[in-house]
Formats: sequence, structure tokens, C-alpha cells
Amino acid sequence: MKKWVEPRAVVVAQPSAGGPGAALVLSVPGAESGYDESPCGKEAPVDGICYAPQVNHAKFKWSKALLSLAIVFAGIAISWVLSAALYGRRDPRLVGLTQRNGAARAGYRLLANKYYLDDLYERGVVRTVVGPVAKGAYWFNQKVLDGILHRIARVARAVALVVYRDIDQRVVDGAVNASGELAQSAGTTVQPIQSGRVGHYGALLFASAAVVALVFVILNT
Amino acid sequence: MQMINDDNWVLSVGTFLPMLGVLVLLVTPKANEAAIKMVALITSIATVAVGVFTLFRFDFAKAGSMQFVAQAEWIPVIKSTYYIGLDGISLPLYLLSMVITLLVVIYSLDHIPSPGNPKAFFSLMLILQTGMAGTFIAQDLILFFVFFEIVLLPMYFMIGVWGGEHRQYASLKFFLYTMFGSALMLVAFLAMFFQTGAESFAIPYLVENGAGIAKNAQVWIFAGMFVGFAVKVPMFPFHTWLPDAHTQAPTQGSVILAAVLLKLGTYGFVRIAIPMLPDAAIEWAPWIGGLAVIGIIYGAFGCLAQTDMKRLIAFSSVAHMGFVMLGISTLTPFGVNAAVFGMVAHGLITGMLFFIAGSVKERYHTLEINKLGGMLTQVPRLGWILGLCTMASLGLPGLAGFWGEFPAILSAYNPAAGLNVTVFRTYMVIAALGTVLAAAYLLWLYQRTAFGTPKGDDHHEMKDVNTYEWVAWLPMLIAIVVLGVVPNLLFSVIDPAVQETLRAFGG
Repeated sequence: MKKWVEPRAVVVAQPSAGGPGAALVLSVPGAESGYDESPCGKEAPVDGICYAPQVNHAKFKWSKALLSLAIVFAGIAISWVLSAALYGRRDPRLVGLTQRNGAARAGYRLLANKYYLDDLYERGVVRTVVGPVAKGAYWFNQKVLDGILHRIARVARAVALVVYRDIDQRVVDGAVNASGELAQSAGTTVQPIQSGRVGHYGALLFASAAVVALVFVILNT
Repeated sequence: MQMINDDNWVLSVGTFLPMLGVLVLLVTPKANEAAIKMVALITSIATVAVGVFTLFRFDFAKAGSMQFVAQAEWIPVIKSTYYIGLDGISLPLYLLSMVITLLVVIYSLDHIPSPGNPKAFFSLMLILQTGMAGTFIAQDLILFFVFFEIVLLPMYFMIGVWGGEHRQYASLKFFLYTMFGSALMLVAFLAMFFQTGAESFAIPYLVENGAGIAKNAQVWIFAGMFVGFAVKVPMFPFHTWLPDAHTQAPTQGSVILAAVLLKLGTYGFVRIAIPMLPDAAIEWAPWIGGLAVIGIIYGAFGCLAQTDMKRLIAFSSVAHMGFVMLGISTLTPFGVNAAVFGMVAHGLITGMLFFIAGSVKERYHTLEINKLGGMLTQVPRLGWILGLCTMASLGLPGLAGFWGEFPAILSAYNPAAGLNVTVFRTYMVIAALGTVLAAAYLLWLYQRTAFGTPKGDDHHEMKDVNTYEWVAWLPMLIAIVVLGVVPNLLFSVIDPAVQETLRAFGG
């Protein structure tokens, strides 16, 4: 029996020197002769692997078709006979069988629960995603990502406090205050020479300017 | 790029008309609420009228060219000019911002959030409109930056004053986070300016000359822009301001945030970062795509964990903008077309969802999903509108959301030359799984709120959708359906501009 081929990746040869799509050699199993276009379109994909689904259908055969139909009809016939025996004649061997026989009970339960596929889906997939996965992602969002953000904010505030209290208030403002105090104390020191006469002040200004000029001259020579 | 200078007054008028309204509002007495509402309404109608005029004068045959271009001297010292223009990418977003503002104003006529003060509320809304429209037409990086920042302030006040219980936390977080991003973005803009010879901040000039920057420098400049835009989008892991801002903002703020503000980020990628720095874009694209698909799945999980309807809608934006960013990261015209469509579709759909959340809150006094239920029996019209919008949001074919989501996924199948095909096809598969999760959280939300029997005591006398709501919502609902059925209305405008923008990548 030939296997039905699942959709799969098909390796497409790298394009020849003639440029993309010039001469694609395909290795598609079962590709019909004359089929010379890449399943990925006209251009070969960069890494040579084309993921276009390739569905190869099995060839139709009467033998297979008849066999499967026969199985189906056999199933219908068996269930017809059994149903007639159970519901029609109320055959004592069948009535209550699923209560008496463990294997029958297990089989019945499996079928009644649709092979437990719904439970598997509900409990395995849905509740996991809605429960732990979604909640975990949200926890990560609130605690980790926002946690980092809040940590950064706290550090920034702490740094700001240090900058304000220790640098701005102590060092910078301290310097400003110190210069103010210096000016004040200097003023107090030179108070005796304050006469209130403009001429006197002019002379002082001129004298100090002369001293400063002298210092410059000395420094520059 | 071809520049068309006809009607060069149109964009300036359309952008700054709302400021005229603000000036009128300033001299309107605070107590005269009717006059205030009328001024806001007339201003936003006039703005939309200018927008419609723009639409009619727009040369659709040349949608790839900048149109209505105006250029004037602005700050000559730093060679920045008042330079504006509009192409097929900007046009839909520019109009969207105008229409959304008008609809929000209409909705606000009947829904001024506590603590009232319509004068301030409408003034901020109109300032916001100028900022949004300006960002979409700016053709100069400094001008773009100014508009991009103008938007922040009104939104900060909207959330901080008219917001919910935790409004102060949310508004500060929103402001600081975005400022952090824009600081790096500004540094990147300056680097861009100096690296291209300190000649001009004009976007077309920088697009022409950006490719000449050394690759290493490009990658770093791109990084700065990336942070600025990624915060705004928002992309995982820079998104945590969004659920707080959206949830705490008043309905009007949430609608504008979702409908327009997020698009400033994605628009920045499309208009500025990618065309200016093509080599860096190729380097960054796999990382952007990776964060985009993480955002899709992560956002969906976040939604599934929510107990609050508004916060759920907020989180869904993280997932939806992930699709937009995935499309952009492919650097193909197909992907970027999908992304721009996705921006408009998300704006309409999520904007609508926030409108609905606002109206639900007004009626039920809660947004706790557990306490809601039976909307279809109690307020059937609202319930059906919610149904339509959840379907649109999960990407149902025939509604606008599909054309943003599906082509974005498909585009990852064939990323631009130079990008790793295997990586992007993996992204494609993960993103496709994200659509299943989207259906899960949206339908679950719908089941829990709209189906079943109403809970709580105040069953009686609950009013269904009122006139103001109908007038505000119908245009959006119609647009969702029309764009879903005839997506080419939008694609045909976007595509030429996208082709032009991605010229560096070989189209």
C-alpha cells in the first residue's frame, strides 16, 4: 500500500547561475513530468527549503474502496442485529450487560465520554492556557516587568533625594550660602574704612584696580 | 520622490483649525456649557470638512507622492523647517484622527466624565487633535518631534484629571515612559542630522542620505528610534504603561489612545526609522518580528487572565499591535500594507470597543466581567454592537480586522531579501496561533458579558444605545464593515506610498 504523504517541506535546488528561477530542479517525489514550477512560486527560496504544503493523494483503488465500504456495512449490520436483540426482544444476555461485565462497562463509558477527547481538551489545553499560563503571563507582567519599572522609579527617587539633600542643599547651596557669609564677614571686617564719601570710594576703587592691574602685569611677564 | 505643491494651505488649516477652536473656548464663559459644547462640535466638524476637502483634492493616481507640500522657514539656526506633506500612508491616519476626534466630541456632548469642566476637557481634546494630525503630516524631524510631544500633555491631563481610581499613577507612568522613549528618539534624530552632514532635518532629505551612513552607526541610531517608537506602539516589553493608561483614562481618552496615539509609534517606524536606515532595519527586523510575535501571544495570555472588561480590551491592543509590527518587520510592501491597514482597522475596532466599555460602565456601574451578563436581553442593541466589534477584533473575514491581521501573518512567509526566511516563517506560525487565542479571549468575554441572564439588582430601566451613541458609533461601525468587504478602498491608497517608502529594499 502506498503511503499517504503528509504536507511537508520540499527541498528546492538553489537557483542556477542564470538567475533566480531560471532553471529550478525540483525533487518533489511523485511530481508529474512537465511540472517545472517551484511550489514556492517563480523564485527559489533563499535557503533552498520550500515549506509549501505538498499533498500527494493516494491513487484510487476499487479494492480499498470496497473493503472500507464492506467494513462500514458490517458495522451497520452488527449494530442492527444487536439493537434488535437489545431493544426489540430484550435478550437477557444483553440487557444490563454494561452493569454486569467490567470490560463492557469500561467500553461503554469510553464511548459515552467520546473517548475522553473533550475532557482532554478542556482539562489539558483550555484550563492550562486560561489558568496557569495566562495567570503566569499576567503575573510576569505585573510583578516582573512592572517590578523592574517600579524599581527603576525607586532608584531614581533615591538618587534624586541624594542629589537634592547631599549635593544641591549641602554642596551647591552650601557654596552659595558660604559666599554670602563670606561677603557679609568681609563687609564687617572692612566696616571701619567705610566713610560714606564718594571721593574716598573712588580712590579705593582706583587703588584696588591698580593693584589688580599690577598683578596681571607681573603674571604676564 | 515627487512633490506636489498644489493647495499647500490645506494641511496647515486642517491641522491648526482645532487650535482656533481652543482660542474661542478660552474666551467662552466656563458656566455656559452649551456654548462650549457647540464650539467644540463646530470646530471638529469644520476640521473633518477640511479633511474631506483634502480627500477630494488628493490625487489618488499619485498616492505615492507627497502632496499639498508646504515649506517655510522655521528655526534656521538648526536648519529645521516647517515642512509638511501627505501621501497614501499618512492620508488614512490623518483623516482617522480627525474623524475620531469628531466622534469623541459627539459622544462627549452627553458623557462628560467626572469631575466635569467641559471647557478644559474639550480644549485638551482639540489640542490633542492638532498634535495627532501634525505628527502624520510633518516632513521635518524636529517638527515631527514637536507634534509627537504635544500629544502627551493633553493626554496626561485627560487621564490624570478625568481618569479612574488610579489615574495619578497611570498618567504619570504614561507620561514618563513615553518621555523616556522620546528622549532617546531625539538623540537618534540629532545623530541622524549630524551623520548626514548637518544639512537638514527634512525627512525626504534624510531618507535620500541616510543609507550612506555606516552600518554600525545606523544600527545605533535605529536603536534610539526603536525605543521611542516601540514605547508608543507599544511593543513587548515596553507596553506596561498601556493597560494602566487605557484602563484609567476616561472613555474618550481610551478611544483616542487606542484609535490614534498608538499609531504614532508604528507610523514612526514606517515613515522614519525604516526608510532612513535601511541597513539597520535589516539587522533589527528579526528582533522586531520576534518581539512582535511575543507581544501577540503574551498579549493574548494577558487578556485571558483579566477580570476587568476594559483592561482586557487594553491588553488586546498589545496583541493587535503585535500583528502590525510583524507586518512592518518583514520590510516587504505586502507586510507594510497590511500594517498600515491594521493601524486603521485597529483604530476603528478597538476605539469602538472602548466606547462600548464606557457605555457598559455607565449603565452597569462596573466593568468586572463576573458582574456583567445578559447584555443581549437587557440592552440588546449594545450587546449586538459588542458582538460585531468582538468579531471584527478577532479578525473575522468580511470585517476590517481581518485585512490587518491575515495579510500581516501571510507577509511573514516571504520577508524581504536579506532576512532569514526560516525565522520569519516560524513567526508566521506563532502569529497564526495568536489568532486562535484572540478568538478565545474575545468570544469568552462576549459569552460572559452578553449571554446568560442579567446579574445584580438594577435590571429595570436600563436604557439601550441612545442617540448620541448612535451618531458617534455608526460611522465607525459602517467603516468596519465597508473596509472589511472592500479592503481595496484603503489598500489602493496605501500601496503606492508603501512601494515608494520601501524603495531601498528593492520593492
